[in-house]
Amino acid sequence: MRKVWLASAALLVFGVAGCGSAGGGSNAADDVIRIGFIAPTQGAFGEIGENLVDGARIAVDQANAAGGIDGRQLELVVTDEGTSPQTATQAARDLVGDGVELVGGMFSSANCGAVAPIIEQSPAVLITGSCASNEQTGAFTGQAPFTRTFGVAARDRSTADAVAEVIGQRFPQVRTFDVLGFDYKWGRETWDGFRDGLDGGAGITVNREQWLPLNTTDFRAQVSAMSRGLAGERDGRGVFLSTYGAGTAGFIQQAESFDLPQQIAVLANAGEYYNVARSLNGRAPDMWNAYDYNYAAFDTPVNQEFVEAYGAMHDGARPVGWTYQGYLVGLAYTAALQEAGTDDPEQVRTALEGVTFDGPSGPVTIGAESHQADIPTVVSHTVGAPDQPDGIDVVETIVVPYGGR
Amino acid sequence: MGEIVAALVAGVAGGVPLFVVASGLTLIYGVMRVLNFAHGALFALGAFVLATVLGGAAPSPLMLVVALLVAAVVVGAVGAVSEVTIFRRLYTRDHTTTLLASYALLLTLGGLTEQIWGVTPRSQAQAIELAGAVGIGGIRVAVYDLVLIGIGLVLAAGLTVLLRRSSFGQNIRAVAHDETMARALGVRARRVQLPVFVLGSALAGLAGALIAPLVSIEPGLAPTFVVQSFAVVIIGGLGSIPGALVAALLIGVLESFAVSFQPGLVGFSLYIGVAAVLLLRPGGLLSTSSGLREA
Amino acid sequence: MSPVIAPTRPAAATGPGGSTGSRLVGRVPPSVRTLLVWLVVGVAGYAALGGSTLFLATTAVIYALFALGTSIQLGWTGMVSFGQAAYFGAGAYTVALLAPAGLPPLLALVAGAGVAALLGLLFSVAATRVTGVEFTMLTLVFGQILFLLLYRVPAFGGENGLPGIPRGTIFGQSLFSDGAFWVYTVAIVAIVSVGIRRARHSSWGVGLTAVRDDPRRAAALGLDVRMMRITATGVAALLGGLAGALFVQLQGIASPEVMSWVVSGEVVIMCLIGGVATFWGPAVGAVLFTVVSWSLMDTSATPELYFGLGLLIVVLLLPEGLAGAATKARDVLAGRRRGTS
Repeated sequence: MRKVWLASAALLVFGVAGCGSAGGGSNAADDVIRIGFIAPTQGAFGEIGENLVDGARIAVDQANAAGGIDGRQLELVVTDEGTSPQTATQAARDLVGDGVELVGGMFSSANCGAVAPIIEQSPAVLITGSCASNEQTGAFTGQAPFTRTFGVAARDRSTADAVAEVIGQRFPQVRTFDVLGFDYKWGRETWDGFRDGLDGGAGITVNREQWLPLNTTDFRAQVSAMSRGLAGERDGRGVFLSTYGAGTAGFIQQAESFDLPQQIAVLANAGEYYNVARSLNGRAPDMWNAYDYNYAAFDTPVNQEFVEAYGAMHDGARPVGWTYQGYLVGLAYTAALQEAGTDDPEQVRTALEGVTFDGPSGPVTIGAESHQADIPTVVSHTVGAPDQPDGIDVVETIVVPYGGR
Repeated sequence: MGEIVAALVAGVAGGVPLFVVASGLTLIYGVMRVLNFAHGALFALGAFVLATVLGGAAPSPLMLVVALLVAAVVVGAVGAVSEVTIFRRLYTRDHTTTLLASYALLLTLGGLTEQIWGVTPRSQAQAIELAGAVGIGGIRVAVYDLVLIGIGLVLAAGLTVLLRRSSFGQNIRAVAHDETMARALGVRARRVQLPVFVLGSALAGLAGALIAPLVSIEPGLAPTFVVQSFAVVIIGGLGSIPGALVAALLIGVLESFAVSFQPGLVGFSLYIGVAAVLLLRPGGLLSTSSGLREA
Repeated sequence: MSPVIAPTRPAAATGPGGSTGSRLVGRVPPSVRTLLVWLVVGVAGYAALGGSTLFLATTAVIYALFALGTSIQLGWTGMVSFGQAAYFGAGAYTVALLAPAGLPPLLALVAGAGVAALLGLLFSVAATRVTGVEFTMLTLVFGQILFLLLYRVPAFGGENGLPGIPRGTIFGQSLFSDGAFWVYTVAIVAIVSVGIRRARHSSWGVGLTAVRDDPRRAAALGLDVRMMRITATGVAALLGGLAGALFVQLQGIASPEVMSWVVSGEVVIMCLIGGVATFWGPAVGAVLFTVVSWSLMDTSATPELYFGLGLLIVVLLLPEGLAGAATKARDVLAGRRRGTS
């Protein structure tokens, strides 16, 4: 008898889970333009996915509020990117198979690397959101490797170059750096870019270089080693972090328990950091960071509207870089759809080449040859402040235009 | 010389939290032969509960202690529910079934945690009295690390005394050694299995709560200590509390020495150390005198 | 070594059938039956599935091969490995690294499987003294070291992996289309399955089970227990490498996830869901795991929760795995028919 009960419970569980699919099916009316959006919606990267989706949703809502595209409303179809190329490619194939041929989003570079060739063989178009678009667009070469893939995020070397430039100017006396990063390509390349960016690496002493496996959360031994030999050298010392997310947050908290931030002149990193500072509830240290966006960096009506729309969704919180990237994907599609005057993917693709639209940073153009958006990089100087929005005082922002120095 | 001592201290400070995580795991394995995959999820749950009780703000030391206990009790209760609804039905089946069940429980608890607390990371401020570092003989040591070392040693001593001196401990060892024989001698196995499972789970929760002020509290926390704590349990000798302590300290010190003297081996040192122990002493570090079975 | 896998009865298909139908099936040799099963799967998949569903099915069949290979070590020999992803990844990265050489796809598969087998043999020779749960730990350590090396050695491409791997052409037929790749995959998996099936009843396969059930007795019977364990690991590694190689040809990219301990854990779980007592159990488990976890991911915000709950219920309800339950159901049905006739 117990087994019967368990069997019904099993059916119920899978039934409940299955119900979601019935609701989200592909029974779209003809007058709706569907934009597929792939992002990691759960687990360790779930926060990133939520932000990307929120950004795209704001753009879609704005377009719909303005009457849609020739009277047709936009609809966002969100699919989970998962955590590997396998799940990401499956998500892309599912979307295209369901006839959703305008696709955007994606977080991981490896996943973008796997999905771009699939899109290339399909009638669909892809605008990548968060992947550093070094490999999928012609960000460096000028010539896009894929005809059907476009990118809106900055090139990853731009962030390292930008923060190096600013640190070099503001802290000329800091000549000794410690670096702590995750042992992966992005982490090492960012550090190389930063080091080379400081006077071409000349005259810089590297005290300790520490590379840890991705997703390490215990930095005790590293922090302790770093804090040794720092005494009395405060003004000449800096630390560069090539970590992200939980790694950066863990390092900061463990460094604080060693009073490390008080013993160095500058703490810097590249990549999204605002979310980490926000999670520290006003206790974030003095930090110099470079990424695609800071809400306080741009004094444009588009940015103001974007920040307000996000604040309305989330109790006055500010959007982060990922939200911005999702928003740019939405804006790029809206502009291209308007220009094409149809949702035929081939015509939208052609329209995307060289399209110009007003983004939060001002006019943005997607290169006709490179398929890369020419967005600037933002260096933000922030420090925790419990009374400020999100517990962060944005002391200063410096906008470094596309193309670097 | 100063560098060696400093690396040693940092290594011990890193090893003790690992011991706390692993102690519950080794206890449950020693008695029930369940390699509980869900331990990581219970650990993460402890951190979430602590941060919820304290609301992220800096607590007084007293409040911190209260919150630590609440976390241990809540996670212990989750352990009790799991034991009664799931594992109790599986003790008589082969070990792969319990392995599968603990994997299923890991996913379930992970999903529940995400449903309750969402995916946005949160943090827990340290008690002001426990923040910062002190200089001891020219070496800087974090105050909270000293607290962790103290708690770890007290726990190790307490658990050892519980297992070796109390009548409850005698029953535990009897069941661990030979359940059938223990039953024949009048020990009621269920009276041992449930409390051990609850204690093991509570230790996982306590470990998560203890580590909470030092990490980002988010869904990715669950797997972070899993591989290390399994390594500790196995090289320490399954079911051995002193073995787990020695193994955890060894792993912590090894990593710290790698940081100081062989930075290229950072991250690899754990695996190299474990491989060396297993290849040289296949039964675990303290294999002659370890384990609940032999204790 | 304490037997981690409890003794189970021999493969179910050898028993005499009760009904006329199963008596007829009983007369067909197991290897031919295996081939027939894959033929049906292949034709049905080709005819009924398309687009992303066919792609998912191809992934599932590749995992089925991975699980079948793993079960030689896990089910037949009773060695629990949490490092199988090392072999899957070795096969995957071998194919990816050889891609610029433009090898024919079959040759690339052979290379991938060969490198994995070599790794497996080297590992098991080094680990020959270690058994039981310590062996499991050592496999995990081995897998993790290789996983970390993917990030450390620049040639492996770090987190971005090695993208842009072409599927190639076989007998003048391009594997570019998903339909063609499906046929290619099923054909390879079918041939390999027949080999595994035959090995199951060979003196080697029976010897592995003897080693699992009682290593001392096996040694007393004259079996070289050490050699049996080494060869079981080697063959499991070979098949894992083959599956990884196919996986990369399907996906077009090798990325570090294929070598993570999550994959190692999942393939063991696939085997256990299906049950290691029967030949088909691991394959069925792999297909179910792949399809169910994907459909939950596609439809639910917290797929983990539902997958975990579903799995818990399966564990409590069907302790021998799904295939074990199917066998039991068949036995019960057969018994009932015998009773009435």
